[in-house]
Amino acid sequence: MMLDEQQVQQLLRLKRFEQPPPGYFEQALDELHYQMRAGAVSRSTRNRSTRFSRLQEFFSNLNSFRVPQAAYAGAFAIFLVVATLLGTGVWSPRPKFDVYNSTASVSQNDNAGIVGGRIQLSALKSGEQDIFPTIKPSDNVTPRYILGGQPVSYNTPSSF
Amino acid sequence: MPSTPIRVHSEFTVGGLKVTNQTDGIKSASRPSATGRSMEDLHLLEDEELVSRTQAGDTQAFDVLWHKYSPRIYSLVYNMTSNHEDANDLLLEVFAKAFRAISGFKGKSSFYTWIHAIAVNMTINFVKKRGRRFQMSLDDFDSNIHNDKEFIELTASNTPIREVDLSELQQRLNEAMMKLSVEHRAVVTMFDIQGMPHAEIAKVLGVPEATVRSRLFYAHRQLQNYLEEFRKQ
Repeated sequence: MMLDEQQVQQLLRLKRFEQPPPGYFEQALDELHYQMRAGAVSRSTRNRSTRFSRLQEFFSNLNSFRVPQAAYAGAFAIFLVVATLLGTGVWSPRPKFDVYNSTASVSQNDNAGIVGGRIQLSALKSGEQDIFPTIKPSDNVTPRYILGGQPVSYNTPSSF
Repeated sequence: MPSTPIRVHSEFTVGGLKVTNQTDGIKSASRPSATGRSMEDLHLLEDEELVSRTQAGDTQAFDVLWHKYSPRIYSLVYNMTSNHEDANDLLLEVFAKAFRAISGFKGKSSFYTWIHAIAVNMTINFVKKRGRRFQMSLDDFDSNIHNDKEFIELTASNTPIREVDLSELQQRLNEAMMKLSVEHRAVVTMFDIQGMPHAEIAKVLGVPEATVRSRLFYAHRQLQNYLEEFRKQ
């Protein structure tokens, strides 16, 4: 004859009496507090160390970085193309500058760009291109700058 | 000369909660909480209030939740693992996880159901990882068992269960339990040992009540076979 279901349940209910030693739950609570504090500390330390290790990894990757051979060839090819374009005049990094037109423009402008002996950058426009104005002695100013590599001062040189 | 109490103050962040912990040498039972209430007052509060206080960073409210539920959670985990050390580790992990996750607890279920669900899931995962490599490490029977009506009935001479000493009884019971699958063991533990109703078990496991009943039926049938040797010879 087998145990009936009720007897099985009665036996199982006896397991209620399996108990941890007295004072166990108080000690376990202390341990929980300790672990939570330690966990919080170790988590923040771990985060910090993770960031640091990522940084270390980044720099070590930089050290161990190897430039692929094809990159050298590619860079040389780009250099050749740019040099060819510059050399043949197909492309120039600086805009072309029409000296005659630009000079006329500033002289017609009644020294609008020259205020208190200083040249305003807004005056350095002719059409759509930036230019350097040409200043004549009749402009009644005393420029003290060297523009475009040429002295523009008209003070009497103190030469002997 | 009056003694100066040692005051330990610590502050840390867990699960997005800023926690201030202050120990001042006074017994925890009369220590005022962060909100100015004593532990006795906190013990009178409902779970919802304790949870909201914990969410606000009052660790003593969480301690009260520990006092209320740790014995039940321990029992659940212990009866699913049959190992005191594993149960101890899991108990701490369950409460630590609950504390970290409590800021996201919306109160859709009771705290009781919620923490049971955490415990069951963590224990099922643990037992599946542990596999068959484990040793039983059993707690002693409480001496009150000798006064238990059911125990007296079971060991009476006119029952089919033969008289066994307690340690043998414990050994056989736990061996029989460990032969069940961990899912069946969870249901048996909650229903037969902890006396939880089917509906509550269904909520904890997130399964229909019918599933709980069928698991129980199957588990009882298996246990009837495993415990056959308790029949009086």
